[in-house]
Amino acid sequence: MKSHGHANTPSAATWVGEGNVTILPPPEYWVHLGNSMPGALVERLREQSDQRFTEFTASGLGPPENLALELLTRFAVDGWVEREERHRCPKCDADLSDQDVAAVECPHCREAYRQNGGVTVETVFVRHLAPIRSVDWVVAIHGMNTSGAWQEAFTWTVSTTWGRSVPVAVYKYGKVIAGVLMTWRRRNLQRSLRDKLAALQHEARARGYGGNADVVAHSFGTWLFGHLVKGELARNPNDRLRFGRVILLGCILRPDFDWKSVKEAGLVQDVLNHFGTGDRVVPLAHATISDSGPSGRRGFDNTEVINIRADALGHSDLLSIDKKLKNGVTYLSNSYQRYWRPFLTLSREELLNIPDRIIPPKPWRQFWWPLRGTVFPFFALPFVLAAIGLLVGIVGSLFWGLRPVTERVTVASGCGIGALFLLIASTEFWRWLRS
Amino acid sequence: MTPADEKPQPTPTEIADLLRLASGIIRAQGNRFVKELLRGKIRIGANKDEFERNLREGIENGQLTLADIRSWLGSVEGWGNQHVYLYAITSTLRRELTEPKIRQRVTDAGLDSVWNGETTLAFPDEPTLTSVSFNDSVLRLVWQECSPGWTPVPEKNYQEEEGLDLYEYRVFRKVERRAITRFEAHVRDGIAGLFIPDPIQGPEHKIAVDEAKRKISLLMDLAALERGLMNIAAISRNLDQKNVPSNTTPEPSVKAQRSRLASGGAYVEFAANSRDKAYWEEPAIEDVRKSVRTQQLRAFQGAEGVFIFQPGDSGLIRPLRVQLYGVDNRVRLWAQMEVSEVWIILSKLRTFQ
Repeated sequence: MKSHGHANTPSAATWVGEGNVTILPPPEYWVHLGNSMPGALVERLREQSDQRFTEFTASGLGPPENLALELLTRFAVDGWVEREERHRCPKCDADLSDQDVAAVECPHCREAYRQNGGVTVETVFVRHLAPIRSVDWVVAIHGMNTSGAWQEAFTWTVSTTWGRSVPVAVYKYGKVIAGVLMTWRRRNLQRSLRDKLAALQHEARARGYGGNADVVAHSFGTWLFGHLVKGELARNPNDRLRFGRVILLGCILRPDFDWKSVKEAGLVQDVLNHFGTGDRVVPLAHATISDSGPSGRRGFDNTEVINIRADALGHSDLLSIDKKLKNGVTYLSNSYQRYWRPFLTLSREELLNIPDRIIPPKPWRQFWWPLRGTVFPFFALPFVLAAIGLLVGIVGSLFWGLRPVTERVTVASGCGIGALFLLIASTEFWRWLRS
Repeated sequence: MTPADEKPQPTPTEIADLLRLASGIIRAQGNRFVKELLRGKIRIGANKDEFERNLREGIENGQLTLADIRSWLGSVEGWGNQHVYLYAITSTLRRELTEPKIRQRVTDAGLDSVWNGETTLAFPDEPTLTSVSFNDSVLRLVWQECSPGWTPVPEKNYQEEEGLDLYEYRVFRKVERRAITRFEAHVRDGIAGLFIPDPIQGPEHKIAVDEAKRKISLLMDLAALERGLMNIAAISRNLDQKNVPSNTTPEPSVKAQRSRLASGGAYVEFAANSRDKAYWEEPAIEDVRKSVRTQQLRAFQGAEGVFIFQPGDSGLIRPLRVQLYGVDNRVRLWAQMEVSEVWIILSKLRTFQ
């Protein structure tokens, strides 16, 4: 489709034949159409179009039907739909093929068309949109140092989006802080995540959810998920876990992560990396956690991933239900409606329509090897342990002077507890003797 | 060309037989099938008159022989445009269906005259069993009937006034049709089908079924066969369910143009207005359909449905339309088909029991 001038000043001829029956018309087309056709009808047509109807009729759009037909004809001339004539038997109303119409009698009821007033012709306007993608079930994985309060709001939002149930499995692994620095701990978390996802997949299949899970992961959850799918590549193809579309938020995977191999192996279908340019946590990841990077601050370098940039937003802002836009919509709701839901449901060809996409201008360059979170734990962990010991020592020394008082309180309260238990035991014994 | 390659000239009787076939049976087949017969043998022609002239010339000068037509008719005549009752062959029945046993039963039933009967030129006036054969583990029974077909010719209708009443006379033209009823048991594959041609409708359909079963019962245990009658309602339900798009199969190989799910005394029906589309191609309808999950399916009997098998699926080269009637466990094949197409579809249906 060619590019067009400003939406408010198109000429009538601009759009003729410029449409495409496989995509939705852009917003400016509707403005243009509204300038020359009845506004209420155009609005109804737009509503039906946005609902992705693949077939329009004048009776379904009108009244008035004559204007509706005129509007649909215009819509067809502009190239957004094709006009078709559908034939029906006048007697039994069966839909007839061209071959059926060429015959004298209806193959369904054996009645001659002519005897019943001739074949009924219905004019319909059709288009061939790619089918919307099906969201079957979703997994939400939270980040470190959080219990994932956003998961609750996200679950509610997803599960109330469709008329049918779309279950959201919330994977929680507790608060992890120092653990993310330790290789063995990360491996354990990764293993637990895999076990859980495998179990969920098995259960989902048994309950009739035949599709693959879509995944939403935040922060350290992105690292866990990314390394899980990377690990799947080494497995037998029949044993691999496979996922649908993946949304990464505050991502700490390396910007040169090999999504190409993962996608080619069919382990994930598509990936969206939504990041805030004001994220202060992500840049630290590369220096502190092995095999990580600032993709949640600058995007992935390859074109396998859809990078969506959110100016000035911080590490968890996209998930916030407290922060709101000027129109009162929460950041979470805005992210979901504007980016995530379209990403989950649009056909692959239409993913290009998702706004605010960027490709990083320069390739990412990693740090020198010792600075890539490789050596950091060897300093950080002794430092943290020593600092904790030091803190305990300092606090302990402060309390040591109060020892006479605390001793007396301890003895007195201890005796009190002992007396209470003795009294309870005596009461029970007395009741037992009397029973 | 060497003398061995030269075809012998047809005898006058052969030519007469072939011309009779050409005027009736050959023309009754769909254009695409006739073109297959003629391709490379004679020039097809641009219109109906040319086609008939070329066909006649081809027969008279020996370019089109009875052997050609015999093998071609075997694969296209009586396949498609028919109703099918599908049976799973039980292990008990399978033991009965061997060539020596069948051969013996054919003799016992006094049907020796039709054993491996040649059917190309048979035009019996009544439905008649014209062939029983057993080849490659396939038992075949063929009934033929030269049924008078009547096509309305409304332009010749007329009205007459008699006294105060007006009468309308509707004109029909007689056309020569040969209706073929078949029973085929593919013993090795464990599947059998009774095929009743579409032109046989209403009470005649039931008569044809009863007659076929009467003859089948002479060759095998009919009760054992009936026990294997496939539950088409369940097949319709499961076929529909398995072919609702998911994110792993966004474009299923079978399109459900219409599907009715019944539960007790009520039903819900999903249907596309267009005969070529699946109902789930409209997103809002797909959304509603997806609220029925596999584990809830047992609450529904599938009542009936119209399904379009897509090209590429198991070797099909064109979309084919099939209607399933749960009420009387009947499958209707909507287009004329080749024998291979029919069995691809029926074998596929069996997997959705």
